[in-house]
Amino acid sequence: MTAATAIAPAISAKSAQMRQRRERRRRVRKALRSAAIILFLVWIVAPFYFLLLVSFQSKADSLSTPPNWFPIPDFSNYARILGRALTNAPISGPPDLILPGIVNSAIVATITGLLNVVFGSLAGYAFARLRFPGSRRLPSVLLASQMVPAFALLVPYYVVLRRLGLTNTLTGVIIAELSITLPFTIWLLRGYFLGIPIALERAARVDGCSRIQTIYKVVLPLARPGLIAVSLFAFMVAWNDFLFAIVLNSRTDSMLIQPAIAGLYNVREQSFGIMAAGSLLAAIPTMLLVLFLQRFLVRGILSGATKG
Amino acid sequence: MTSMPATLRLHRRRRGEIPESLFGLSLASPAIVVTLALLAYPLVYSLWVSLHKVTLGNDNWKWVGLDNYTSILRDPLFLPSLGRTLTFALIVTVFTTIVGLAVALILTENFRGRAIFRTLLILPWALSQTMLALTFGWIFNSTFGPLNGLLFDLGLINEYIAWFSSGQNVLYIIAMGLVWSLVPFAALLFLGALQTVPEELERAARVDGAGPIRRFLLIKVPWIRETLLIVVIISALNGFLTFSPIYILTGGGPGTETYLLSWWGYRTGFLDLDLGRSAAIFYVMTMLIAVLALATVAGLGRRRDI
Repeated sequence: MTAATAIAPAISAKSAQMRQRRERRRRVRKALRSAAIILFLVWIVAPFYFLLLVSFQSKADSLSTPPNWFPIPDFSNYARILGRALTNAPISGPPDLILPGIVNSAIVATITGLLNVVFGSLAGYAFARLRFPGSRRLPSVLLASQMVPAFALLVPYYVVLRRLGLTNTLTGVIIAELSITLPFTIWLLRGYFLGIPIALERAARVDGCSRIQTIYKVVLPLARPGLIAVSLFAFMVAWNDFLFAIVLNSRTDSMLIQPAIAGLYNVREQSFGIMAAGSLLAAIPTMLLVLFLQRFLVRGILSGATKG
Repeated sequence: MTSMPATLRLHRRRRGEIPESLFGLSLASPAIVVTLALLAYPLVYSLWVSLHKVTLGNDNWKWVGLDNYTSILRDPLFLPSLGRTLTFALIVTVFTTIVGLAVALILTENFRGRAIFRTLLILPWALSQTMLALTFGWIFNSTFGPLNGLLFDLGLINEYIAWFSSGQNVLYIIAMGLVWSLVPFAALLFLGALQTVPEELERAARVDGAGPIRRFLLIKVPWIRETLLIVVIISALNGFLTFSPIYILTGGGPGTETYLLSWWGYRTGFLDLDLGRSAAIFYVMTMLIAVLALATVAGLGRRRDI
């Protein structure tokens, strides 16, 4: 007893020292963490800031060295890109292709998204809930098909679509985009349907719903977030695709947005402002989509990949 | 698969209804037909094209057997392009994985501004490879690019650096842009996985005296192995298939210094108009991907036993 009371002050002194050291270590750790966070933020934001900066600069300003970091706002780049919509003048250069490109790509991407929902929801449901020849094995084939690169389809699509007279049409591109989005959509939706409690469907069946009624009255409404997400995901793939867009559709009058933007890159003309403005305009839909989609996509990809 | 018996009862046939298998097939068939017609058929057709001499714009096909393949493998462009493509994919994969993990580890902690950080983090994902090429081409432009200007204004360099001086440099810069755009996605996947690491497991390891680094390597990494596999495969695929930055920024040049397999295949088919050979190059690429993917799955999957 006496020995214990003698030791106690020594222990508390030691523990105070240790606490101090731990405190110091925690502060260092916190400082390091803050530094890392700031570094990452700069690394993420800087390219966007540079793009915004140059897009709101007059050409003369954008070519000054060293650059002006806080410019006098100048809207000439955006005016150049958007101007043609008002005047209806003939196309006289790559900037004039941005707006038609956005319209064409919006058509292609929207139809791709819709077709994905229609085909994908039916098939996804069938694979999740029904038993039929191939119902067990086909889903993993669909997942494996994700490994097939778009390049493998490039030559055959070009040859066949040309023979069908579908090159340089939006239809041809939609067909190609469908091929690279649909397998993944089916896989994601199958995972989504598997996550919906089966009891609800059983209740609907007991209440006398037919199979089709069960699907469109019970299952599809419950799966609406998933359906919206896959359609937006397919939209994004189609919107951002460059390969099919440039190979299957190279004429200016049906040009899609990514080739249109690529056409803005011209170092010799030094039109960096227009290039940046065009890129930012074309990125608006996808930026809104990722902000809206982030939670679902991560969950979807993970569930798709792990729910064997 | 535990839900199967219940499933069977759910769609048990009623009077006037078609059998379950027929119902399932009819729901799935539009998608199956689309997938077959748009995926399986072109793959087979591509093989058929690659066995012919086909000139773009000319409908006369000439059977050449495996000539396209043997000439590709003997082509002096093949091995350098392959090596470049693999190195490029490896760099993209390694950095995406490491930076993605680092960002995810930061995001598992609570700090002020975490929500904003998370929101900003996702934005690079929205940019297409085309926009990426433009953005990084401009940032690294040696005369007017903001990077040189920034470094100069900060006093870090005395004269502007010619970032695009060699093909190799261009590839590094493109790889950096790609990592920039892939990290958000990798970080969010990792974050989701890290949040499922059971706290008891961590606490037990801490009690046993494991420091943060060992806890990370011995507990967290094995726990998120599946996610790790997904991130590795997706970033490797993205690296392996990079195309539009080459198309926009270099066109394969200077010389053939920035030829990746994707660019070589595209060039052969759509600029040199040799579609049969192009199809063969893309077929070789596809096979390589299949082999690499299987090897990755086998390699990372095996760690389970350790």
